Amino acid sequence: MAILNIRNAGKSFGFGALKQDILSNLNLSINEGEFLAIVGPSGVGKTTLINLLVGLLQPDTGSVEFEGKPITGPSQERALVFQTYALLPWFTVKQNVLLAVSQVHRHLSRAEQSAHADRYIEMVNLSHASFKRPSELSGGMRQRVSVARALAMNPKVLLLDEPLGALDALTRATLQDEFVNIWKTARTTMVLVTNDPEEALLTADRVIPLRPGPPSTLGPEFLVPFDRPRRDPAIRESAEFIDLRVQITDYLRASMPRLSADDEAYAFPDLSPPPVVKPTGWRAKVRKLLAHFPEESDPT
Amino acid sequence: MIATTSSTDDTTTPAPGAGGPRKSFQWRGLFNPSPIAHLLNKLGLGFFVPYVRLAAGDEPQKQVRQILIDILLPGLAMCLFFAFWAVCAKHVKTDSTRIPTPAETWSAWQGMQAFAADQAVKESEFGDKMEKLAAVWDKQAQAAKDAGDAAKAAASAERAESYRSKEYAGPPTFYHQIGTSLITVTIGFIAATLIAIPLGILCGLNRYFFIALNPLVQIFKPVSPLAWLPIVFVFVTALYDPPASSHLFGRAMFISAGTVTLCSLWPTLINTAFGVAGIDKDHLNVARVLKLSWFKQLTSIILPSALPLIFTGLRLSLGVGWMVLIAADMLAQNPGLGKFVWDTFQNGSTESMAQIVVAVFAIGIIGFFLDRIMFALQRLVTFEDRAI
Ligand SMILES: Nc1ncnc2c1ncn2[C@@H]1O[C@H](COP(=O)(O)OP(=O)(O)O)[C@@H](O)[C@H]1O
Ligand SMILES: [Mg+2]
Repeated sequence: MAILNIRNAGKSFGFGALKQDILSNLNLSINEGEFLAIVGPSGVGKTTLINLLVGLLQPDTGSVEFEGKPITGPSQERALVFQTYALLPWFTVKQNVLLAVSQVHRHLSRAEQSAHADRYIEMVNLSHASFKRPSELSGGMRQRVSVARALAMNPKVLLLDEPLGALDALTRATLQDEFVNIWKTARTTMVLVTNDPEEALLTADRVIPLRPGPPSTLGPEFLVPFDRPRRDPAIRESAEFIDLRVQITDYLRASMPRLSADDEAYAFPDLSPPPVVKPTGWRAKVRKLLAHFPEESDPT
Repeated sequence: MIATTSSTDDTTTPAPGAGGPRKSFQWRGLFNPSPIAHLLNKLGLGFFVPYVRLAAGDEPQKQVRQILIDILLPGLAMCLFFAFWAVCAKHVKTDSTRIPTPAETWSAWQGMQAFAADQAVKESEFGDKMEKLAAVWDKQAQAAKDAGDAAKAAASAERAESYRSKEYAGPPTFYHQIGTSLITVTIGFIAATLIAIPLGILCGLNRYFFIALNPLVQIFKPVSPLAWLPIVFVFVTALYDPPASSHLFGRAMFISAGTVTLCSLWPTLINTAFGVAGIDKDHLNVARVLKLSWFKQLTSIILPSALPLIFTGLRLSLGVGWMVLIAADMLAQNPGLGKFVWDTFQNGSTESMAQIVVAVFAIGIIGFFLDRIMFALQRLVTFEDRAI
């Protein structure tokens, strides 16, 4: 049963001669409860596509439907984890989550809302940082606050826009596993947008590449037949896994602008460091004098 | 809940119950200077950080170097300035007066302090005297009451009361003038804030409102206080009729304050509008996805993110207001620092020139402190958003 449907949708930005079709001919049907990944390099329109699904943007052509009805704006049933996390820096972790909880679960009492927020903060392992502000958290922790805020809305669909794009490899691996666990526990439909085919294959049931344009459009689906967890080398380094990854990568690369050695000869400019000028005269004397005191590095 | 794999990214936070931040090295100083230094920086008192770190024994050589730089360089500039001043005092003169020397200025300052102390003594003596007279009439009132003469008792009590309410009518001292100026600028600044912030928020939120108001703002913003004053004068005279006895909240004060308001309104208005209009688009998208009500959006997203710019505006406004106030005081004859400078200048002697120089320093120092206070407030409401 499809929960989200995109039918022949297209989106362009700009006007006049600068008008550019970013997305066109999108057709997609997302099944209830599935874990779908959409893969594409940066700039293809992944954020635009996810904004169409959330309802922050309207398609110029075609339609986007949620549970059979056209989407006219955002809804609390479709939660979004923003690419930039979009945490409010003046709120603590708890307050950020509470803002969503108090908005979505208005019928609950204050104490129940607070308990609800705590439950989701615990789900992403951040109970110990509940009273910290975003500026005191590492990138991965902020990402998890953003996920907790979205999950606490108890959405029917959770959309994640390049959630791990800005994180280091180790943190990415941890959070990928965490997403799979959350998906299993919370039983929502998840749509993960990513630029990394491997990440898509490690997490999703189904991977759809977003072929670079312009205009970009969705490619054929790749079903991922492996059991979870897939981090096990037996799966991850199996021929099927690697084959799938190569297929997706090749599909995306086929339509990327080529930059190969035979296209053009690149001559590297002759770069040498500038000559070092040694200070003489009074400058040298002042330096020698100041050398008695080590240079202060500004702490702020 | 679910058992997730152990988190690898918690480098900034200890495991729960680990007790205090993880220490990467053993701190050997007297006390940990970081929290105090952080607070001082936050309050705009970064100047004192090297002293705190020196006291804690944190890299003393670096701190000494910093302190020497912080003291020696301004000291040098100050010495050059005083030398220049002394030269001016020697050579710049008119028929009747000349620039006072630093020493003359210092003694004028001491004279002004002595005068203020003298006035304070006289005022308290006056108070005692009035109290004594009132006590006499109190006694008479009591006697009349005992005698059953109610009319006489009431009349005597009234006399006593009239003595008690008499205020000392000596000339205002320098401190009174500073007080009057501060009250005036506060009234004008608060009025400007109450007008500018709501208007600024409306302009920032609503494009049409901004388009409508923008020409008016641009035209009135550069108008000099001297041009506003006559208009404010007409308004205040038409609308405000103070009781004759009130010598503090007189018309002159409200004319000055109104001029301050009209001149100091604009930086806050413009900064508020830009602060509100420049909110992070993602934060507004959060509001849209959560379907926040208008009021909730205002209190939890718009105001907090615009606050730093609003306070930048307020700080500029107060600076403008203090500067404008002196001119407005002069013209409106409001008994503050501006009137003091003007009246003293009319005196024309070298001694009164020295008093004017004292006033110049006082105006500058007070302005500096007002700015520091606003700066500290501005820092307190600014949240760093080190995104990603
Ligand atoms: N509001 C907008 N106005 C104009 N161009 C836009 C806007 N949003 C996105 N674009 C353009 O659309 C393209 C895709 O952007 P985006 O969806 O953010 O890509 P991705 O998320 O895949 O990196 C980019 O070339 C970008 O410049
Ligand atoms: Mg994007």
